Amino acid sequence: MDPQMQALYASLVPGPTAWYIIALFAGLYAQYQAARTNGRTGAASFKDYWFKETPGASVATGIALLFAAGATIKGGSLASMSSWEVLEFGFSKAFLFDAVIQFPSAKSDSPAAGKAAGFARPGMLVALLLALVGCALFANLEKPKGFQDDAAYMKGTLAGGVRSAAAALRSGAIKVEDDEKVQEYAIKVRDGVKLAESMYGQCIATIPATTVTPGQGGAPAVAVPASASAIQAAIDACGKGDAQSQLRLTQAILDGLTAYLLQRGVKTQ
Amino acid sequence: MDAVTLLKGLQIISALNQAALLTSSALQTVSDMMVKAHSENRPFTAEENAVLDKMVDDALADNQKAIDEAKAAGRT
Repeated sequence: MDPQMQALYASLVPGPTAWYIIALFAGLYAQYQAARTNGRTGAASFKDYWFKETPGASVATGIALLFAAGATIKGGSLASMSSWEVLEFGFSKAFLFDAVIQFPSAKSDSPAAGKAAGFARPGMLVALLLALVGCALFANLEKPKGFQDDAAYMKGTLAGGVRSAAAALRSGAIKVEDDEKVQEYAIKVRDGVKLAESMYGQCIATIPATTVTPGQGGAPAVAVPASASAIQAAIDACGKGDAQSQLRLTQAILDGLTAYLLQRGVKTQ
Repeated sequence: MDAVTLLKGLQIISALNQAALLTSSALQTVSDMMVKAHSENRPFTAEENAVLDKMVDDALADNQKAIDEAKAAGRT
């Protein structure tokens, strides 16, 4: 193919960032359909759901997603993921964020989230803006480079979030039942990371230390030590397989937990 | 805005401020560990992994303690 045509073709094929954004929208739409099916929204259309029914919660979802998606895109981790992982990650993040933020109070007698909102929705915006400022402070931290770093960062975020929940409970900012839910999700995230690490460890354990070269002309096969680059490539592959998929799914739960924490932290009694 | 709402708002700001500090501190620990591992071009050691796991387990234990204390105090 002509080089110019190749360049044109490359410019038309969506990259990981574009797929990620498409997946985010797909996740939001799926959450809207789930809300309709379960009677959590009275909006007549997707447009009404976003712009008429609960504009405050919608803006909060938008800001939360903008921050989370921006950090992911800027961090460059999409480039190391397969197309499926990008779609899975984007979809689950948008679906969970919208679920957490738009979900009405359990004690609400209204099927629509808007009537259960009250002070919590503008408070949510304030909380997210504070989180944005916090993120700017984190920008100087070392960037994750691979599976182990991602897992370590998740543990750091989880530990900080859980400590914060305990502090919020002690200060009276959240209720016991809210913190119990936080604890329940946090244990799921901890176990999810452990499962991903276990899968990664099992994969690493299967990497052979030697490479067997078949013998020529009846000669016996020869085993030679695998090269450092081959071993590194195998380690990298372990960090991009099922273990990383498991970690991404757990990351989505952790993101949901963070949003839940922020929402509960600003909820009035 | 009544006094109760104002007090609630101050509690929230205080909790969020504490949350930012605690999360920042935990992530700084992770970041320092990563800088060391990257500079030495190696994965985390078993001891470093144990530190990270303990950080999470300690936080969960502290939160459970806070829940138990709140329940014992009659809070819902």
